[in-house]
Amino acid sequence: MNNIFINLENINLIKQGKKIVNDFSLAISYREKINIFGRNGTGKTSLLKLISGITCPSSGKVTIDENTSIHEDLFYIGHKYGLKNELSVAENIKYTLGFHQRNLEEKYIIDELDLYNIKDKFITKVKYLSHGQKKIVSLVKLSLLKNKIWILDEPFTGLDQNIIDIFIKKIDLHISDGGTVIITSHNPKDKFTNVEL
Amino acid sequence: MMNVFFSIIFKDMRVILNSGTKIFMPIVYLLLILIFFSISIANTTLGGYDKVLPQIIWLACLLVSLLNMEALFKDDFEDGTLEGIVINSHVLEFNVLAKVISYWLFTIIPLVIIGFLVNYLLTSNMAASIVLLISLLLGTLTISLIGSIAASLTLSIKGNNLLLSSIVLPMDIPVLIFGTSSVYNAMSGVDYNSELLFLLLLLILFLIISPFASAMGLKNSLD
Repeated sequence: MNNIFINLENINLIKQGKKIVNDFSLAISYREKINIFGRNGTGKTSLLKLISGITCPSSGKVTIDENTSIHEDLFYIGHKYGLKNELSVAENIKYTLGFHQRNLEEKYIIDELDLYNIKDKFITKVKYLSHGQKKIVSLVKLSLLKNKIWILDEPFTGLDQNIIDIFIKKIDLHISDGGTVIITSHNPKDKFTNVEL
Repeated sequence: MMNVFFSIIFKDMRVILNSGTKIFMPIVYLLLILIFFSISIANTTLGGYDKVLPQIIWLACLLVSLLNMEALFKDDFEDGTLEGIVINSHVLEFNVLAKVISYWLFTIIPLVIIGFLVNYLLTSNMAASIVLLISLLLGTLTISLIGSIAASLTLSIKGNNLLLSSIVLPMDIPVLIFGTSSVYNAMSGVDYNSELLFLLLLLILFLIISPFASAMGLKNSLD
């Protein structure tokens, strides 16, 4: 199964008079791991926003496969993790699950948190977590939701090697389940399809 | 779809209940305005404080809800929850409406109840107080809906409060006029149904327009 679900053709993006993305083309199929890399300010985040449909291109075409629904299949984690400071880790995860209309027993959430060794933070409010722990919680949400397409903006920054290894295993598991992962970083990565911007 | 609607409302409720200031600050503001107003007009002989009290309560509710309007999408915007809502909503308009309803339920309704109680305690006119309550309920929901349009448009602008208030001002005036005159009529023993009906009409009008306009505004702000 190697069908293309999103196709970007000659994308240009101009923001406030500045050209951010210049004549960019990319076809992404399922079971692909894509690493979009480039230096700071080359428009990586803007490109992810284009793929997730938040931004519209100034010119060019974005085609999405008709069997794919952006609203259902995509999950985006940007620089902001989408966590409410006032709520506990459990409440945050349950809100996201509820929003995506998934039902999961609490023990699955705890198991997932245990993988990253933050099981004891289950009822801690997010505002008491460290920066890295917040990121881990957002990754836990990602793997619990099981949306097909993961779009992650610099997922590895701010995490220790141990956590990165666990998360890369999660990514591989997701790919073997037929999903797609699109990440950004500053340098090319092994075992990823690297796209330079 | 209803599940998503309620999950947003439930999340907002938990956030507000967990942070004390968000629920108490508007009430404190309302009481401050009422107290300062009554001190400042104490020496004028208008024919009694209770004649103007309902109008002052109406005005105070309007001002306090204007002050907080900015917070409607701001928190969700800053922590990234809003991106999730925009990307993963089948019908974004519906979820925007959920945001407005939860803002109204947990920030404005306490104000309205306090306003009703203050009016009843100080004027002991139950009939007029109930008209005040109804007109405030209708009026503040309309104001929240109008505010959501302005809040979504000005979301990505820093120091947006000034712009927000000036967008909202012309649309809030009819609501204020019909709201205050319905209470005035009720106090003078004149028929007030037409004013309340007009408030209801404005509410329905903005209930139709606002979710679409706000959803467009949000998409633009996240761009």
